[in-house]
Amino acid sequence: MLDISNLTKIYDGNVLAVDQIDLNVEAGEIFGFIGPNGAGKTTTIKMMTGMLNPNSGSVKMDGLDIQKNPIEAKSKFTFVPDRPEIFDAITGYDYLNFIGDIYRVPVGERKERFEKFTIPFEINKDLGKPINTFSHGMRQKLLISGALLPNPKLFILDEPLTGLDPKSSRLLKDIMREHCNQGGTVFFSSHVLEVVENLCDRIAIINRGKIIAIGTVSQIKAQGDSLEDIFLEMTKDE
Amino acid sequence: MSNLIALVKVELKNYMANTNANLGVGNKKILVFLLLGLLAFSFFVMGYQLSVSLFTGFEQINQSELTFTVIYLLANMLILFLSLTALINLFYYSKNTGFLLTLPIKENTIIFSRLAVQYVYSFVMSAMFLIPCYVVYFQRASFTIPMLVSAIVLLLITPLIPLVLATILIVIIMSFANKYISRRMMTIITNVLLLVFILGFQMIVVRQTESSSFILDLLLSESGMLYYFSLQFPPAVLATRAFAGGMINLILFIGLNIGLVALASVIIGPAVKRTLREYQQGEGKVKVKQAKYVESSQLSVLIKRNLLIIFKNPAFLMNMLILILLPFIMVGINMISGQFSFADMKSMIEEIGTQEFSGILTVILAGLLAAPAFMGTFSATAITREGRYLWQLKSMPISAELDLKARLMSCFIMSMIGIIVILPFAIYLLPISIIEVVLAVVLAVVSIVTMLNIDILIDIERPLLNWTSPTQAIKNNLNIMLALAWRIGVILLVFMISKLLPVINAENIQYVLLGIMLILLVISYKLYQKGIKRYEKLEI
Repeated sequence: MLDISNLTKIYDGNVLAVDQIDLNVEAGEIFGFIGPNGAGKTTTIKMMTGMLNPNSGSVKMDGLDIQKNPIEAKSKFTFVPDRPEIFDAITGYDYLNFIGDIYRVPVGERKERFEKFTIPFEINKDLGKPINTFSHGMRQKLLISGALLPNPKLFILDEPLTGLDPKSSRLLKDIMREHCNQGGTVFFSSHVLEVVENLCDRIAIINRGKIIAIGTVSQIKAQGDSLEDIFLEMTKDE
Repeated sequence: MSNLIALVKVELKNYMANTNANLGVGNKKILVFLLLGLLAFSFFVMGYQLSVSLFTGFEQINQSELTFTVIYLLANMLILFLSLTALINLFYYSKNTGFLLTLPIKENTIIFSRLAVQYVYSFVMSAMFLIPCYVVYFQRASFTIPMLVSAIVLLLITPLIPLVLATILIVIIMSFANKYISRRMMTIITNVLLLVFILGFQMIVVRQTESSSFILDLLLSESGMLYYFSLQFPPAVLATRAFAGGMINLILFIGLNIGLVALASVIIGPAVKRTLREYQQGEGKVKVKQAKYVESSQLSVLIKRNLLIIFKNPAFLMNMLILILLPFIMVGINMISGQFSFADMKSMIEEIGTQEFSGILTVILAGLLAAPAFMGTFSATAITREGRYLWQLKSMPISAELDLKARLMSCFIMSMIGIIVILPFAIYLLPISIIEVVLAVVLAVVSIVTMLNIDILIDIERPLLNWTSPTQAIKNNLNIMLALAWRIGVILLVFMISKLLPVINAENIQYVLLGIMLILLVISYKLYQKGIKRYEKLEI
């Protein structure tokens, strides 16, 4: 589903943020992307989603290169960023309709799809209000609901659990699993190792722009006691 | 006090860094100095010319110090006008106000630190008028060391009075923000009312001076002319006398400034305490809309999004409304205050019409119609206005071509609103035939499309996405200055062509302009295709 090959990003000609990484995410799996602050997670995600241009390498979504076929490739995924910064003077309904129009969600299906996620997230009653009256967590829930609205093949999230209450965190984890069970794919970055350990089918650890470990949780855990110990050992300063 | 100093230092550093970033020349300090130097020089030349003209006139009546009075009044009015919107944005709509409110500092400290930022901007603005005035006066009238001292002190404190007055007005009015209408609307209404109030005050004062007894008193009094000018802004009397070498007047003027600042801190204190927090909570009254499920094309939702970004942001909306409506506000206030009647204006225009200036009239009409687009703030900030929201469109399945098309069309719609509003009045007022009207509309539309194309290319090259105050996004940035610069270049080109080629006259000038605009349109279209590719590669 997601094929990253030899991906490199150099900022200002001399800061190597992402160094020739290769990554492959299969359809139907939940893939966790972890690493310490400044390791290159967000830069990688920005290149995956078309916000940054790589210096070399490629990102393919369902076989489509995001550099060569940006529209088709972007139709395959939706993205939830780490900070819910969206145009917030409109109402929740306006926002969801906007997403629906961009991803061509048929109008007849919208009510059902709006409610599918906004009711469990308990923001349904607030959709008529301007987003700038929403709390951080409510905005995050709205962004997640919007991203799930087109039923994307690949669901990309950058630090999705930040700002969510325990109930919503649990709900999101259930939604991610259900999405994969129905044939979708989830790629997310996180600092919460416990979540990654319990939820992901496979994980990759990035440090200083390089992938230093990739595999199933049990494969990686075979190298030590716990994922946390292994993570700290692998990412410690040399 | 130490909190205030610390906050002022941070705010000023932030302001300088933002100004530097807005110039878009990175760390190339020489380029920054060159750009700023060029700007300062241009303004100095204009200020110098103005001061020379004024000095020549006032010297004849033996009151050359009135040169300072008029320049001082001009600087004050300019600061007062420009500060109104800027201060509302700085006080109430800056994104970091919420964070500052969590720090152990007084609300007044936040307001004064923001005032310090606006002071720097206002100081530069007043210096561009006052310094050329000083040069002219010292060259042609007299120069003494006490006068130089007074001039420097006056230069430093000139921005204080208009800034303090603007602050008091804004804080008091915003503290009465009605809970039954949205704050966004309240802000817009406040801005319009303030503009009308200040313009109206000026006009009423001028009207009062038209009475014969006033003119008689004026002629009999030694300082009559000074009082006449200072009626619109009384501190000008003290400032002028201080400038002319009166040390006591200088001390009094300094005292007046200190007193006003102290008064402002007493008056605005309680209001600021309440309003700063209230405005961090979003809308005062939340209007809940019903669920609706409607389908639109990608292009139309993108246009709607672009327009909403303007309509829902008070600073952007005010800017748009002022661009479209300012000529009407000015004419309206003039008529209300009796400066000149509708009939006077019509007869003046008809006089121009009888002098075989049909081409000029077409160009005037086209200029009026294209005026909102001329200022460049619609188009040269079309991407900048998105700010931090641009990530969303970049990660969505939307082509760069469609995205830019939507931005162009949004700007075009706003320019069309200007045409629709202005055209009926212009046709009624101008003695112009239908063919000339059609030609003017064609010229205006071609010019608008050309301007939009080129301006968006400027914004593609250097969008400013990390602004904290909306004022940064739509004003005070190099994109708008570049947009204005190339327009002035075209005007100069037309002027030079008309001088070099005798065959071009007031009857056919419109065709020359249309020809130039069509050539620019073709060039801009070619460049626009490259711009699409640049936009595709734009990193955020």
